[in-house]
Amino acid sequence: MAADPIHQFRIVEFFPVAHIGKTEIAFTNSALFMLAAVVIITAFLIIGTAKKGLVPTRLQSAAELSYEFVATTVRSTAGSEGMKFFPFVFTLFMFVLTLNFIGLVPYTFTVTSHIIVTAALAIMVFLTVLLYGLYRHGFHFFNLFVPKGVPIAILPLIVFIEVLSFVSRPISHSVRLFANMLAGHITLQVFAGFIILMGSAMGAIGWIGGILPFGMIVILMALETLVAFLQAYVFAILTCIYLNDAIHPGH
Amino acid sequence: MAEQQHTTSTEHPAEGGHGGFPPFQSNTYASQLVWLAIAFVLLFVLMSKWALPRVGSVIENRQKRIDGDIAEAGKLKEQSDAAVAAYEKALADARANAQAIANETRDKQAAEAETRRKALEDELNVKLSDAEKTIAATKQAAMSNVRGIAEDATRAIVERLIGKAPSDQAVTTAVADALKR
Amino acid sequence: MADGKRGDRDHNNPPDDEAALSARLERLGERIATANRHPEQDDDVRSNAKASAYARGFRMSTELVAGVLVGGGLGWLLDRWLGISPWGLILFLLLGFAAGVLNVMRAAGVVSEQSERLKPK
Repeated sequence: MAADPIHQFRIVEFFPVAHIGKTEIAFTNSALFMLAAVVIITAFLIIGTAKKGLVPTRLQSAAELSYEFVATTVRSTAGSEGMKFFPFVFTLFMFVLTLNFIGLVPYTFTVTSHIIVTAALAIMVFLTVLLYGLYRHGFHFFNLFVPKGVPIAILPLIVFIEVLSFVSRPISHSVRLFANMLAGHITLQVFAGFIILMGSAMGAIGWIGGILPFGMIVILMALETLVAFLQAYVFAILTCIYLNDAIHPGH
Repeated sequence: MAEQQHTTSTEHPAEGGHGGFPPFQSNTYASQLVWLAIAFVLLFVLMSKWALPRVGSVIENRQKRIDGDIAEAGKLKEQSDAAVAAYEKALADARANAQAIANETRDKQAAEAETRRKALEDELNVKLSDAEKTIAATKQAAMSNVRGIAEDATRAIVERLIGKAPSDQAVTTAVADALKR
Repeated sequence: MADGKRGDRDHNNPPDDEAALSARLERLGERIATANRHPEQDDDVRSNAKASAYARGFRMSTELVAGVLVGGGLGWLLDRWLGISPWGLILFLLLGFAAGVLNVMRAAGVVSEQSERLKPK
């Protein structure tokens, strides 16, 4: 069972909740972990600041660190006007980060290794940028696609490429997170599979030989922890960069 | 995120190993999207209405406190700067004061010495003039003695020469004439 | 013993005390000035710079693929609707590749972000 690197990504349906048309909405392991992330994040921040200490406890400084980290990222990328999106970016960052970290625990499920989830998040960001940009700038917003100083003959081509570039953002945004989480977990699972395989195929020698892949797993685990954080950070900072397009600093 | 059109898969992917690669099993999409929406909106509301203002207020309070403390420290430093300046000024004043007192004392002593010297000088002058007077008197007396002797001598000489004593009047005049020359 | 020595020295050199006091005052002034300069900005920018470098690297990893995917997808749809296969796919793959290259150049900071164009000159 452990040898199957795909098994961990399977959606397990616990019980159906509702039907929309013919579509069944079920409570799945994915839903369970999403809600778990919500509970963990909320508890982390609320319990962390329970004492509201002037000198923070360890948990409180962790909570404050996450706040300051995202706030700095938003402010330095999207400017002070971007701070109105701070709760949005913070929610995104913490949600993705927590789901990524939960996924690192053995026998759990990684919600962010499903393209539909990352795509939905990326499209949500994309629509937020588009709608807010249009609301703020009107059709002037489409100047985004019109470079200055380009001969009129090739302008349509350039504009089209720019539009493609703009539209490719949510894909790049979602595929990056999805692929990184997926690849990392498959790699871990494959190496874990090696240990089992060697152990069962060659007995004691195999188990000793399994030390090598086990060491690899330890290294990979550290790497995956870094990747889990960085992917959440990249997701958040790109959200800020895209939001910056809608806000554009400097008035 | 209302894209629940891809469904109607007959197989049950959750059970068994078939059904393809799990992330691409589109019949699980609707459930995931619905729960994602629920979880995300729930989290967003919890964060923006409850958790973030709370964390923000804690940080802000601390920042305010730190700013206040720094301002306080700055104020205290200004005070101590002022105290040092005052101390230095007092020191300089005291020094100047001491200098002034020293000068004054020196001047007073010099003046005293001067007056004493002057008094002494005056006294000496008086004594000198007294002495001069005495000398003059003595000289006068001596002169008058000389005159008397001269008159006597003249009378005697004249008597011897002419045998007759001249009148006192004539002798006196003649001696005075001679002395005047 | 060390304490006694130090105490002796302190008592022996009263002018040093005065100099030390003014030196301490000066140092205090400097520290208050640095503390007043809102320390968070400096530190955070530095700590974020490293993470930003990683972020930039990861950003580039999929930008090209995304451009090609979008171009290819659009071309495939056009082929199906207009029945001009495979010309739509070919053309749009090329355009998508160009967009992907543009994405990568933006991610690398070679080309300025689109938002720069909204800034008034």
